[in-house]
Amino acid sequence: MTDMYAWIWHHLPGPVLLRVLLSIVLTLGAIALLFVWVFPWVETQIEFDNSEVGQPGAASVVDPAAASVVEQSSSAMIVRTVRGVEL
Amino acid sequence: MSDGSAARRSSPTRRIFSVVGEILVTAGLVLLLFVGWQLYWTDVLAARAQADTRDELLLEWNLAPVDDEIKTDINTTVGQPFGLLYVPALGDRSWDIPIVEGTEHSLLSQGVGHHKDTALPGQVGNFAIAGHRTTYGAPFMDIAELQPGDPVIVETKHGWFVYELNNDKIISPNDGWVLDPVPGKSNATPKQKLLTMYACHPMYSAAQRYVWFGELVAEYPRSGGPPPELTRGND
Repeated sequence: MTDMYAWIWHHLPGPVLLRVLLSIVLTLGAIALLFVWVFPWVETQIEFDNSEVGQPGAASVVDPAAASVVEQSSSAMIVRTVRGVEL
Repeated sequence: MSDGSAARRSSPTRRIFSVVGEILVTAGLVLLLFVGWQLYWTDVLAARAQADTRDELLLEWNLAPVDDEIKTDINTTVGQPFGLLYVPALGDRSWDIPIVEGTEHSLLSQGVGHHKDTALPGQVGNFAIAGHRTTYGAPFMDIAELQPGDPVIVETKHGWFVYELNNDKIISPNDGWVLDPVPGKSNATPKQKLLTMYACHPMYSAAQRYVWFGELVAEYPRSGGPPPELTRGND
């Protein structure tokens, strides 16, 4: 695959005008794909606004309730943290 | 721009540079798009979702018989909205924002989140809520601009609850004591009706949390309409 964009351009059918229109459609499609599926997923992975330390990160994203309140039944002590909360 | 024949004629080194360049330019554009999505598009999405939630809540409340009585023992379900938040000093960003049960990431995009193991609005104990400082409508973007004495108003199906802020603090994410029924006194039996609201700090980071504490100063039944404290700022 050399020159991806050149390759795509040469494989688009029709006259130049049609190719330009198809390129625009493809670009918008790619942006939609990113906005609707890719970026929301990436956000859950990078957690750049979550400063968790020493905590099972994945678990807290799915269920921060478990992370925010750890009940230690032996001592009947409740440890609360706001760590799991991503803002 | 090289066309197909030029690419075939060019040397392998040139070709590699060309491909790498294309990949880098594409990656740069994707990163820019991500920033745009995060800072702008999530606001649009949140505004849409919150408007729908608000309409549903108000429809449900307005269809119910007019309540002369204040009730605080409302039923909540994790993931479901149960109230609306008004912070007049924060302007439009914090005006009739849905309060959702739970503080999961997916829920905070729908409004502000209520820590489900803490008191409900108007109850003895600590009503603790978290909101975004940036992205997803950022209801608490200007949380650091609030002043002691500013009202925070909560509307539920069974009443209006007016809290008054009294002090703020910047804490570590590990400072779970802010959620205690009496913040800072983990073993104390609560007697007051308190509020804790917090957001990330500093902006665009989550190294710390900016937290405000408050206390209930007034409550009203729904039958009387919006409370006098509910005056919109000029933000």
